Amino acid sequence: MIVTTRIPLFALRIAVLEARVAWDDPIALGPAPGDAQMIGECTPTAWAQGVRPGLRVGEAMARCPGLDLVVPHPDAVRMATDRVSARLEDMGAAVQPMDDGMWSFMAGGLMRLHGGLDPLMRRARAALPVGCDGRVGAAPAPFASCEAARRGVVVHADEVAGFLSPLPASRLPLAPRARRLLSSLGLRTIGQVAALPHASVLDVLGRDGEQAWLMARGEDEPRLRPRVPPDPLGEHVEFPDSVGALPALEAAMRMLITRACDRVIARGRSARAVVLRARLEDGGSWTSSVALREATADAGRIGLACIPRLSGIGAPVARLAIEVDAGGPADAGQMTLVARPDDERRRRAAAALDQVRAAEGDATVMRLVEIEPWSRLPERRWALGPYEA
Amino acid sequence: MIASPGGAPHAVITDGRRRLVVAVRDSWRVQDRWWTDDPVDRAYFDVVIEPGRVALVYREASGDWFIHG
Repeated sequence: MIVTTRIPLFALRIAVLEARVAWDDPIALGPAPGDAQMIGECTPTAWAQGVRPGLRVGEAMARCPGLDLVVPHPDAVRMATDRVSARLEDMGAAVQPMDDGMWSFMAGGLMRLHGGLDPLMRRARAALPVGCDGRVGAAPAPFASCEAARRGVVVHADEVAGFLSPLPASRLPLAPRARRLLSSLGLRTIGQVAALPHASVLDVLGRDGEQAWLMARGEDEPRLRPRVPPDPLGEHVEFPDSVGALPALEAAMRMLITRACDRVIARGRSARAVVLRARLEDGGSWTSSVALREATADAGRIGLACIPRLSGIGAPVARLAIEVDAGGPADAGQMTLVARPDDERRRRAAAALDQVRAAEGDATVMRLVEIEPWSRLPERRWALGPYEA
Repeated sequence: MIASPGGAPHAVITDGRRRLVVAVRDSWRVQDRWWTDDPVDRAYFDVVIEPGRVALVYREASGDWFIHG
């Protein structure tokens, strides 16, 4: 069984909390700086007045003149996601944070630990913040579990097909083109998609479509990829006056990376992932996460991966921060457990040469050194130098 | 070194043995370090000697022959 917890309209709730406005007002998530002028999630009051996610700002304002737009806060959403994940992990769960304010984990052994599925779900519900309309659902497959969490129900294996069947096909994670195709074929519910022949789905929708078809049938792989709890370490800088110039932001980021790397090294660890955060002058925020190809504590290498991302900030910055996951091993460069045969051969050869030099003198073992490889005189291209192991 | 009348080596004496030159693979002239007190003026010959070994020999401006390696 997979248990999923969900906080509806998660990003909007965070933005409303940050803006300190009332949830009961007609509010919608505005466009981020530099994005298209479309609105995002909206509160039930705004919905009742005709506002819908994806509307142009002008049209939304025309439908609901009292509509209040709040600035998205991806940075705060990320922090809140981490906090909820950590609270669920505290009850022993290996949590996979999903999109859209959802967190899933395998019930498995936790049911025995907490005395059954119901106590476990109550415990998970208690881990969610109060007053956020948090819901918990469970089902044998990941997609069905997410849908169960929308309603806060438990769906058993023999009920999955019946539960998913009437839901709209737009809930399936499909590309817009595939979604339009399903709509043009008159396939409006998940049940209709699930009834399609396997070969036809593969032919028309490809591999992604096949995955969605398996989800529609409740046959998607009942396996999660839980996150590795991070070992965060943060540095930040507040600007007295907001900074918009990219060179200044880059210099500040280099300083933060150097500071963070010093702390990572002091812990005897290396960095695996970096999250860059910025609080913008207009009250919004920007965030970008960088997964390093291999764990490192080298400020130069981390800078190469992170600094180009700063060009994505679309407004002057009031506060710049970096958070490093210092969960990497101290010796991040170690790639093999067993020494290579070459190393052993080289070690033995060095020991043998040391013995020869000790017995016959230093001049008996010389190293060939390239000095003027461009010379037309062969004897000037190479020279013999003293050998040092 | 035993030179032929055309200036190319005819045979090479190496390791105390006289070995005939089977073929001259390449030849070139090197004039270098002329701005120093020790200028270089050499005629190089890349030759194949019996029984199939390759050797690089050169003749200094003074007429002395040397073998590399």
